[in-house]
Amino acid sequence: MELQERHGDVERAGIAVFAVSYDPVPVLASFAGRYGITYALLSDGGSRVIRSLGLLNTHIEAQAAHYGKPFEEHHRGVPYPGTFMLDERGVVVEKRFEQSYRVRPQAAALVEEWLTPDRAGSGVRATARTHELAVTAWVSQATYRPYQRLELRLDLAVGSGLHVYGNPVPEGYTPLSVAIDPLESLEVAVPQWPEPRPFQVAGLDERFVVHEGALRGTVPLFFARNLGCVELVARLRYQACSADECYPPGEVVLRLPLEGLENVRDR
Amino acid sequence: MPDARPPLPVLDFSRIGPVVGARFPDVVLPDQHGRVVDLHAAREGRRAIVVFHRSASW
Repeated sequence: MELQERHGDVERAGIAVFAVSYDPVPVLASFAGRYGITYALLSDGGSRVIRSLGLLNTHIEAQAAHYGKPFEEHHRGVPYPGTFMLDERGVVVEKRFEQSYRVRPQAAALVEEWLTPDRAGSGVRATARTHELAVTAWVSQATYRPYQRLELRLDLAVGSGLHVYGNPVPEGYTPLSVAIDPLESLEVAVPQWPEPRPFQVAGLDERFVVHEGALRGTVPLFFARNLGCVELVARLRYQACSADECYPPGEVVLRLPLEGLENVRDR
Repeated sequence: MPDARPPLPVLDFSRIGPVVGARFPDVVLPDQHGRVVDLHAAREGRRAIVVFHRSASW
């Protein structure tokens, strides 16, 4: 649905959109009619193409068991949920897949990245600044649906001449980290940071790794239920140092309002 | 009380399905209007995103 909202911009940007499922044509026709879907919904009845591409979800029984759900006949034939991005020659330039059939691929966020590769266009954002760094937190959309994959991005600019500690750190120091305040049904994956570089402090035996300049951290997450309007609270912890002095650890709190929506189903 | 749920299998999607750097295979399927769509022909030389999802009905 979020993809449909952006379809005009996507078309203008010269990007074709295809969504593949095992649904028969009448189901897709009804869905497209009801929700005004204008991009191509492709019907892979019998999952022939899904199978031939090697995308048949052969782990769905174990995935269902993980959620305490029985295997049901309609589970049979679904693909792993995910998105491919193709360049002008039709070559796969990126693919993103989800580990479970229950999580819905977030194609809209990929589209945002393509439309606005260097800056956060729409979505919801929060910014903060301290003496040592500036940070922008961004989620590509202001809404969420149950099991829809979202990605929180943290764009940091560490002050000139400063660095912040990466992981691992010797005891007594604070590495760069982000924690999301718990919310019922919110599932947060391990935050991803760029590889820090080794750093030696003159006169110390301890080994450090540090981040400098501009860097981006990402936090994949999803809500298993619609909680209505929520505030996603990210707490960024860090410790900054210059060449000759270290500052006390700092914390920045970023608050992102998100509105919950129900999943759209055609039945 | 330990969590009795079996863990999710961990899948390496870099090795599942079409790989990054290779041409996406030819796909020809009917769309919601019943028209047969050849994915690469319908791209008309444009970039594309191809989403695989479980179903419009559940």
